[in-house]
Amino acid sequence: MGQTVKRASAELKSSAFRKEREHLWLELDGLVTRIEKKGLRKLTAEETLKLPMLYRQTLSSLSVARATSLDAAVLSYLEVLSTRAYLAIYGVNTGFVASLWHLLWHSLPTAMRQGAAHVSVAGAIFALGALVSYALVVGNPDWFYSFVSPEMAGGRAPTTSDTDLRAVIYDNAELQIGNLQFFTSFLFSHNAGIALLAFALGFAFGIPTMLLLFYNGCTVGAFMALYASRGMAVDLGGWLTIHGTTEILAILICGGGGLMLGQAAAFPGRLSRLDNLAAAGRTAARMLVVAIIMLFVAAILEGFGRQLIQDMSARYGIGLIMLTLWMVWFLTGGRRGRR
Amino acid sequence: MAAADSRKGQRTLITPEGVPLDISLADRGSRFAALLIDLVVLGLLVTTVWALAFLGLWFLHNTFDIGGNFALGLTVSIGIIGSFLIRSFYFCWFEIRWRGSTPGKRMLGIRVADRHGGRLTAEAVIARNIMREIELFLPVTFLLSRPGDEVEAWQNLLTTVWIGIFVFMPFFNRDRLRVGDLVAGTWVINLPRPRLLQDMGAATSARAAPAKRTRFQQSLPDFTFTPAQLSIYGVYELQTLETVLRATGKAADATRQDVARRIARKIDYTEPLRNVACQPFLEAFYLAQRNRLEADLLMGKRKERKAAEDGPSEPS
Repeated sequence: MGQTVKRASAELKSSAFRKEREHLWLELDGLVTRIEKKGLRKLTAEETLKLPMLYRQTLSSLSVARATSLDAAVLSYLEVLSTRAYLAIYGVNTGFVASLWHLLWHSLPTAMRQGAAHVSVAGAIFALGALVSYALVVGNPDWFYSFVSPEMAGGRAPTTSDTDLRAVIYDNAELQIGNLQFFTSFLFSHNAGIALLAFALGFAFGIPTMLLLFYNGCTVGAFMALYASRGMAVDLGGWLTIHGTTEILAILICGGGGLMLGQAAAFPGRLSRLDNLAAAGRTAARMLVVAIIMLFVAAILEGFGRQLIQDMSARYGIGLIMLTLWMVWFLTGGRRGRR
Repeated sequence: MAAADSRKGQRTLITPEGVPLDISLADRGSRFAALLIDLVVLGLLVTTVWALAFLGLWFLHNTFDIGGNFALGLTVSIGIIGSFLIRSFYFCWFEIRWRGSTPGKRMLGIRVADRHGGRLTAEAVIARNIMREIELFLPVTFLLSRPGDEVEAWQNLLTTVWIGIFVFMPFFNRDRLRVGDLVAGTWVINLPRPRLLQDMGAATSARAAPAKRTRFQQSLPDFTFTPAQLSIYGVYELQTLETVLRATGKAADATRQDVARRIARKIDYTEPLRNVACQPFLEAFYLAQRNRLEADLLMGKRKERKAAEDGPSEPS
């Protein structure tokens, strides 16, 4: 036996370290607990000023303790306290209304501008479908049945009489307040379903999205051809325009978002496929939000406007005004005062 | 950047200050439970709105004799708009106001955090909760709809598969991210809240200080250890000993006696140990061992555990 270790009645270095800083940790602990319970705003001005200082001191204590202390209690406590303080300090620091406003007026229009190219491509595919089916149906009305399913046609077909076709456009149904069901039906409506599907299927390299857009373009084209053959193209235009400028645009936006996702999945570039998808998904998800808002508005227009407003020019007017409003939102929103 | 760790569900997150923090991911079960709690709360809120709307209708009908279709329509639309707003904004509102938790998450002690260690933004919260629409509400309404014909049935099947991938996304990736988390760059982590336990070293050295020793302690031999005796164990054993010393309960004393005898055997501590002397022996050994290992740490030497000659068994 060599020399024996001096009895450690003197304090351990790590114990002294702890004793010196313990009150800071406990103070931070108290503040963080209050933030977790009541929120950051309930702190007084001095406490708010003290918070980041205590937080940094605790982080530095953690780093020192990791390097020099073997007190498991202190290590795990500091670890958790730092995490809690981190979450409290780097949590959401904007209010609910301010966050929503920022989303509506900054993020959404910005995302729309980023996705403009994809929406244009979606629009081109849709228009191509419409043109193809228009040309085909004009040439041979039997094509109509290939593009429009019976329940979709709702009694409108090449064999329907002019008066019946006209009645669909100018149905003078009594408006009932019971029609407010559109609020519930908007998400389950046919077109909203198409829009969401066009978006969701984008992950499969965008191919299903393109098919869906093309096919729906075909449906619209077939109707146009049908009504045009009876000389009612302008009337159908009014009927479509009043909510179509909103609704079809929403479908195109969803399609554009889907194409964006598809592109991200197919051509990941420098990032991993998943990371790239997530990055594109952030923009695409915002476009989806825009589309959902638009579908909601379209449902209101369809529920009220189409029945209340029977005048064709008024229908065109409202449709175009809506289009203008959307464009103003997309093009000017959030260009100034960027955060 | 967050790094993966070999331990299950343990990740390292680097704060903006550059300090790595160990965090544990919330497991899928508690996330699901939190969701269920939230849905129950959501259901209660929606029910309240409808009840209030109809209460208002009843009040109007009785007081002002307003009735008929118009009042009913108004009531229904208020109810529908109200429940729509609640459904859309419930999660967003809570996660923004409560710093990443909802009532359900709070009860389960889990929180939403930024995956890359930055600030959790309101935008990320909104994004992850909008995706809930596709992940949760859309599949539910979809499952409730009936296929019209065969083509639609096929469409439904395909969509079910597709939606299934969405819904079960947390099972398909290591970080248990759902699609909303993926899009928003967030993840859900556990928020533990331990107490600061007493410093074992400070407590034992205070008790061992000559001025404060009781007669019983004075009757004990002076436990001293040679450097050779202190060079056997490492950090892992020391911290295990710490938990043994902290342990309370029926078996704790027996365990300590057992541990003390094993340590004595291992380090060739020749003096016989009486049962009552075991606790002071362990405390003295803990103190000396920690002193030694911490001194080594300052010199840049960190001995993780004892030499592996007799397998990775406990020091006990």
